[in-house]
Amino acid sequence: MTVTLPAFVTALTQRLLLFALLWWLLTDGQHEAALFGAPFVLSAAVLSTVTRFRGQVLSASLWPARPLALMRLIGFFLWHSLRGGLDVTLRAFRRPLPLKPDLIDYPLRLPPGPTPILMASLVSLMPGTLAVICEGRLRVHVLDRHSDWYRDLERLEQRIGDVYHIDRAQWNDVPNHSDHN
Amino acid sequence: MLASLSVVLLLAGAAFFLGGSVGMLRFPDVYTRLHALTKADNLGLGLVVLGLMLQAESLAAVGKLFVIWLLLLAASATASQLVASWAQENGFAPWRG
Repeated sequence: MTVTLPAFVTALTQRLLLFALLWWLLTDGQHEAALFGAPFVLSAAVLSTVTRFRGQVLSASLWPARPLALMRLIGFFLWHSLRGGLDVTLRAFRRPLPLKPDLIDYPLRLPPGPTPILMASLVSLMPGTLAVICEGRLRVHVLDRHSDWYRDLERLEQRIGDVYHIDRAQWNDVPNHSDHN
Repeated sequence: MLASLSVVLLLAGAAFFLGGSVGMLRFPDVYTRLHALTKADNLGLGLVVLGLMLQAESLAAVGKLFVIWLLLLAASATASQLVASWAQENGFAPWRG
């Protein structure tokens, strides 16, 4: 992958803005602190940009392609973390414990790269599911094997694919994944 | 009005922390306990952060609270994955009920 100057400048600017904002937050917006922060913001931005263009693993951009789809993913995520927290809290207080856990392999259709990592992280915050390992496939621990966790995972995967503009045709083919029970 | 909403959010957050801790004690194995910790505590902290945001004195303080919540989400998603993977590799069979 060749690095073009505009791409480098764009990436550097994004990082400068992000790190400056973080520093401003950390120091409660004090003006005296800005002088201290400037060199660190600058060096962190430069180092992060250089790493971004040297790394092989993250050669695909993690920057979300579609803001509207990102908003939908965030809304979906917030709603499901609310459900997830309620669900597990209610289970914790019931007697006997309403748990039917199981360990299952979810056939991942997202292409290798940063998106499966994002998927694995979000899975653990969804109701009743916990990501275990991520090596090409996604192993998920579910609290209740009779719940509709499979539909939730599919919808999450689709939302992530939408954000990064991943064409359905590009998805890994999974011949038959309806027999998950 | 704002203060009472803040109190409601803080109490709700505390209730979820309690739920997470009860789950941590009552659930049978490492995987189910991770469920209790990650989900209930993330939601609990989210509500506490929201409640504190309503009382924050500056915009920067609001932003800082939000960043704290984001960092906790990232840390807890990563940590729960690492603990669960470790348990898998070391042959901890999941409890099946």
